[in-house]
Amino acid sequence: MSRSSPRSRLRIYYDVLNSVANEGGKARFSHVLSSANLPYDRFLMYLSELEEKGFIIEERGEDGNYLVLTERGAAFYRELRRMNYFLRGFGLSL
Amino acid sequence: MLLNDFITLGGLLSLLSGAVALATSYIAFAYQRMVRTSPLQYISLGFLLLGVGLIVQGWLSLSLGVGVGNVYEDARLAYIAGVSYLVLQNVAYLVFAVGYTKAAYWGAAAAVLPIMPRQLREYFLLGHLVFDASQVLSITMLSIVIFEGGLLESRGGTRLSRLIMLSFGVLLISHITMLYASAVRNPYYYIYGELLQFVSFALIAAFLLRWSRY
Repeated sequence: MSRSSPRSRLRIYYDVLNSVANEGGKARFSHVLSSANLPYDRFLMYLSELEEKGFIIEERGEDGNYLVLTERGAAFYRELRRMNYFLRGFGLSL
Repeated sequence: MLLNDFITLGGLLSLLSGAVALATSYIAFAYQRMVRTSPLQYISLGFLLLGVGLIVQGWLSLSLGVGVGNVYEDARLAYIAGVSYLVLQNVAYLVFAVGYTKAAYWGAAAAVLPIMPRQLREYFLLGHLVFDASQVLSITMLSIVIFEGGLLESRGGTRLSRLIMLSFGVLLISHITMLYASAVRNPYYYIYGELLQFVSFALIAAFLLRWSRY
């Protein structure tokens, strides 16, 4: 049985930002949590890092919490996508 | 087309290939600082060596083809440049082979002397043994790179990674063609080998172009 190597921090950032970007830049907290495929406490840790860097902000709505991609976050996400594209060409990944 | 024109064309193609290799090295280096993936360090270093080597090769071919400088007369300089290219090329392939082996097994996920195999090679005083041994070494290294790359492909390759593997495959065929040229002492096979080498870098350039538009 093969065991995949743990995701890098950058890969987790990419997965979180990708999940928000795929929903048009604003996604439900629960949706991103399930897409990130991380334990809740670790998800919160990475989320706070992304918030500190100004890539994501948390919004409280009447029907639940949302995560919103900032302009800076969108630019960072685009760069990560390009980086991933380059790496995949050589059989690697983030 | 005269033989000298072919040599000049070969030189220009090598310079273009060198530029593509250096661009690839630069992008890999920039990303390696962010990602800290060791195979990316090997890719960056490998393309750097290959790029420098191809530029040395291109300069030598142009010097021969256009007649700039007295390359024919300054045999020592030509020898140093010729050997430098062959060494750089083989070290580059070795670096690729190590990088891909690490990625495949440890989970991180030429030419020159476009020299007519016989006559021109003698101008560079390389001797056919040095040239042939270098080609055999290149073929061995590239075979390892393609094998390891194939292993990575089997874990989930993409169209992009297949494009890069194709370019390494064409590069391998170019070295086989150059070795064959030396064996049959036919300069034109050497030129075909050079053209194939350029095609391989053109494929990498196509990849970089797609990346830049992504």
